Amino acid sequence: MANKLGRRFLLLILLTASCELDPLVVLLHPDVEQRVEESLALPPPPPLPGADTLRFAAFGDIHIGKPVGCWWQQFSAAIDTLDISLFCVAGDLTEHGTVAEFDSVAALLRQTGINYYVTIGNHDLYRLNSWELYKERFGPACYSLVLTRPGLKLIFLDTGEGRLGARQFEWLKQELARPPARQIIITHFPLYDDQTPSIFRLGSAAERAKLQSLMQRFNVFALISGHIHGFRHYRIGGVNHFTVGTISRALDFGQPGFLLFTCLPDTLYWQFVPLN
Amino acid sequence: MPALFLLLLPALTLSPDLSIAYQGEAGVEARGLFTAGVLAGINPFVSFDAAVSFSLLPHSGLSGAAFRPGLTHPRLPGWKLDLGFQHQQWNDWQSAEDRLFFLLRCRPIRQLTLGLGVCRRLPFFTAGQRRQPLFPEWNLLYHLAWQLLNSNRLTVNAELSNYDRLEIKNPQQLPGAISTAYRFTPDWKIISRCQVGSNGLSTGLLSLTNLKMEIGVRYGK
Repeated sequence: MANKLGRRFLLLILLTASCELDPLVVLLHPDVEQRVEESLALPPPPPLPGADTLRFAAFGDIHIGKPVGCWWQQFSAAIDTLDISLFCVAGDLTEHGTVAEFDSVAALLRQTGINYYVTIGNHDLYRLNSWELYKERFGPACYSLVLTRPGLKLIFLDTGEGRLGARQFEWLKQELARPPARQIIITHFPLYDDQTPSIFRLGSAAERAKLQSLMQRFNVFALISGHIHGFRHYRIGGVNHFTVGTISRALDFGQPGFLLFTCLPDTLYWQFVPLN
Repeated sequence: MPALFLLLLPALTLSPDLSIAYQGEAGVEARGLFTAGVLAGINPFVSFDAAVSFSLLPHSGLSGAAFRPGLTHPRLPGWKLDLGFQHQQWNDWQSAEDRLFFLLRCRPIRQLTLGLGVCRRLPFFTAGQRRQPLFPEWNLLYHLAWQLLNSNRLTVNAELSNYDRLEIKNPQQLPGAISTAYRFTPDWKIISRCQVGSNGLSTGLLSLTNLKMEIGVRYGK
């Protein structure tokens, strides 16, 4: 019996070793419901000074700690010339969710001298204490940022384990109903990843249907996600779906780069800025 | 055509069933379902399964419908091809999905059934009477069933399958189920099924978030 259990444990370790995940995390990670409760209890980010024109960048999947590296230097150089007010990172800041990786990525983000806003990805939960480490450095993973001028709300969602959960849906619905009406959602897992069968999107068909329905009903401008290392854009039911896990050097397809938004009081433009 | 229908009619065997179920997934749904279905054998090589399901609580109305003809070939005993259509809807979110699929099943040994197939998902948004198509996509289907017990009265199966009669889950949800059928009279069985699914295979983080428990009766030999 003990041998059997031992073999099973070994198998679990071997299975999880491929993604360098602490085997205990598979079942013992803090659940999304718990993380969202804790996120909502934390203070939201301070408001930014308003301006009639706002430029900001968005991308995901820095994966600090992954041997292949990322396009950070090129990104830093590019934003120096673009006069952006802030940038958003759609999760997977680290590769294994360790202290050293979180410290490195926090230092990198700070060095830019630009306001940054992040949410959590699955790799940021790969150690038993990863969520605590994330919170200490970045605060909540589920929050909103209101920019009264030029009138835009950025809503960050926690999809660290591939789902949204009850509490977060309830909060999202309330948040979408509050002004300003022009809204963009930033999250790690995409809702849609092309027509070919794949597992790299939100796990539940029901959650995907509900999220898409909410976005359509509240006229959300865009859903920006990472997880897939490449750039994709679809317009589904009037909502722009962007996948921009494009800062990682381990690209699945396409070019490295980031999304650049220009927000005016009555217009919102976007473009993909390639980095190489 | 009517002659063909009359020719087939004497061979028709019908197994109607009724069941109630609880379907729950944190954040998206927790509803009671009532399902009526019929399993029909037209002849030894052609059968079909049809079902319609209604949501009882908290929002009443149609929940889903399915029609699945199944074909077997006399030279390929143990193999079965299912072709089917499913419709599922979430009334309170104005969302629905149609699905077309095929599933090829075989029984390499008596206790084991293996199946593999493909589904085309066609989700849409239902604002008023208008259907607004959303993101059509392909979905892999898998079905693995192991017969744990088969006595005169009781059969028990364990399944790992993202396909069930009225729903197709995403492959990474890895739904596992135990289904039973207990014959309490020569013509009637009590049927039950308990399914648990997870999200997050691509994350490596498991959360058992989907639960469906169903119990009902089925008529037939």
